[in-house]
Amino acid sequence: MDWMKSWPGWIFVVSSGVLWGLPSVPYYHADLPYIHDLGGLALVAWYIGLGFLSLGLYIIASVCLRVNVVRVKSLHTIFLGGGAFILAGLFWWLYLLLLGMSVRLV
Amino acid sequence: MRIEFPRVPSQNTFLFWALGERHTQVFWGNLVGALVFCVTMIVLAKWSTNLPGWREVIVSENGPVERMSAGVWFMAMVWCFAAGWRHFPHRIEWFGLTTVCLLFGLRELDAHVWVTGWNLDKLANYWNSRFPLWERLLVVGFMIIPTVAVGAVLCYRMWLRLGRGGSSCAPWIGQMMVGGILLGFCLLLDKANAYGLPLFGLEAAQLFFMGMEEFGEYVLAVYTVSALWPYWQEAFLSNDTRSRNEGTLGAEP
Repeated sequence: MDWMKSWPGWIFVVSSGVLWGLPSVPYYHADLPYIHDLGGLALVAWYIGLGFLSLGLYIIASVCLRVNVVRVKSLHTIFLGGGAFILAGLFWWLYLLLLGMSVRLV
Repeated sequence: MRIEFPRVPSQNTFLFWALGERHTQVFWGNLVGALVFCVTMIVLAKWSTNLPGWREVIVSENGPVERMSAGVWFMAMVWCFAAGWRHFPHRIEWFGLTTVCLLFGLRELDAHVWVTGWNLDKLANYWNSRFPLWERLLVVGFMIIPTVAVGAVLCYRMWLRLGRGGSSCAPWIGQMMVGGILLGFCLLLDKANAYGLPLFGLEAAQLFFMGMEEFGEYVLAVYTVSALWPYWQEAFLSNDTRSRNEGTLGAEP
């Protein structure tokens, strides 16, 4: 389980999410005025959500797999992991909201 | 092992060219690791996405390399933000780094083009009367000035620590220098595409230079994460009371 403590493992998780999880978002239309282009902001929200998801997974996995278990017992760390999952959900909700508005406007 | 931010190791040598072997290995190891990782991911992306050629994988806008690069920047942004929340004594540095990573991520997604409809990167657009004055003022007031302010504060804090970090051979100095060289390389390729190649009649090589630029930007993002990784681990997994109430660096500047 050494990969849990290394950066390549977690960048691989994020890169995999982007490569295979990112839906095809029409976020850039050169021929449309910018106010119609909420898809761009939606995409940013999606990426930030992915960042929070990776953070939550890292914290929770550290606890579950007993990586550095002496240190991760603290309540703040657990809150950080849970909070990251909640924020990931909020940002993906924002992504869907913005994308819906973008589609309606276009 | 406790890692301070910025780390201050015991070896008493000076700066990049005179660092001890162990510290030199830290940032060159980061760079080599980032290069190997990026090449692996690009091959994997080509294999898994069924895109017809390397051009579509590496060079194309919104292609796999650009998307992965943006993903890594936004991941770094979120982790820096969380580290600032967790590691309260160094929140200014962490939130400054959060802003830097956010800007790099937005730049990777071409936000400088779609956020207003005109290119924020082009200085001439700021006095172009074709674009609404209120819009240009909003961009300057709510984007440019705050960004410059954050950058200035971050540079000032780093500058104050440079003397102490240099005399104690802190690895963050070497890491920042390698990152700066990598950033300069990407900027050089960007400008070479726009101005240099036509000047020397090398338009045919544009595709190669564009690919190198996208690859360099991806390596820069991965390198940044690899350099920040031990600091994040320290911030997330350290003892709460000590982390939140004491400065690990000792006296603040």
